[in-house]
Amino acid sequence: MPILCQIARPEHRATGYGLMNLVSITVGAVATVALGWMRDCGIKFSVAFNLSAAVAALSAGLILLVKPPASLQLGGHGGVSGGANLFPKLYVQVVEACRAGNLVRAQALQAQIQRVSDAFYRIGKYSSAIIKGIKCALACLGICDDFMAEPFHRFRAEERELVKLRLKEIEGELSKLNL
Amino acid sequence: MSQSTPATAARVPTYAWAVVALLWPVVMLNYLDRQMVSTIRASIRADIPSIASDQEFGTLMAVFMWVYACLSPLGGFIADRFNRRWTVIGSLFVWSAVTWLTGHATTYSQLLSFRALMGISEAFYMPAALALIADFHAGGTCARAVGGHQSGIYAGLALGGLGGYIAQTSSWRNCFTCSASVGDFLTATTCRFSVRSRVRSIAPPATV
Repeated sequence: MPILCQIARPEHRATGYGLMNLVSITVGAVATVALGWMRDCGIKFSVAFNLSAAVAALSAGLILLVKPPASLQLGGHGGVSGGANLFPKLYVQVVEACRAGNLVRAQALQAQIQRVSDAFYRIGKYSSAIIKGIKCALACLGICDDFMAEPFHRFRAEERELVKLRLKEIEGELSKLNL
Repeated sequence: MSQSTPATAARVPTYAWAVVALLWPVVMLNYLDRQMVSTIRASIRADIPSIASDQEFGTLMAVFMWVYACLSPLGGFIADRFNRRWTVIGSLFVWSAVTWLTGHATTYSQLLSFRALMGISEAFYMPAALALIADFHAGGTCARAVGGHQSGIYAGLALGGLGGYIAQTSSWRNCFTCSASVGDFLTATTCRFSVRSRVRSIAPPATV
């Protein structure tokens, strides 16, 4: 159920669990019959155990493929996104892709949003990094000044160079996504 | 139904655990009731001669599982579409009634149909109860809450052995009538202490 909660909307959870019940009991019944048949055929128990271990390992692999979707896919209306000040098209398009049901595009854009977060929100050692990073990047794009009220201070030249470098990288990646 | 007011919102975490506590004896009984038939096999076979063989007794177990499995998705759909609280209470009430009927069965075909009815009624419990718990534990406590509820299953399976004891000391029919009255009592408590359904439209704002 906790995994189901990550991928199913609240109004579909009970139905989802019901389907899981059906599948698990059916698989259990089939496995019981199959094991009985193997026993009757004179196949050793160790073979049966190895087989079920292999199926279990395969299932574990399949579970790793279950990816929790973003809140938009779970019915969220949107998000409060700092990065939208820098690259508004990216954030608008992820919402549009979700609404259009284009999950492949939405996931690519979401990965790019993660890249923006990683690039600008963690420069330096202070927890004010996110607001400094956004303002500095906005200043580099010529949108506004990065002056900050006390007790905060804008980034120094070296951090500013890093922001410029990352802006170039991100802009290059965005052009590949037709943004 | 005013989940949005601050006072009610602050109370939700405690109530979320109360839901698990209220459902724990219910899920325990759910597994106890389905398990008991197998622990008192000998007593039932001695008392109902129309059970011709162990294979026919096995069919009693299988018919329950198949009906239960096939109707689980429907049970889940009803819980999603209508009200989870009433799905849980209705399921508990009906399976307790069926448990009582099982204790009064005199022929194999009666037992068979009661086991099928048991499958129908219990199929409505699990999906509704787990979804109800998940509704209340929207934060990081969902797995813990489901796990706590799950422990009731194993308690029920373990207590299934109690059926054998009651059958040996009095009659196997008492197992079912006792269990049915516990079920009626739980129906009353879940109604009284109102396992509520959660208003699901309110979600915390997302941040990116």
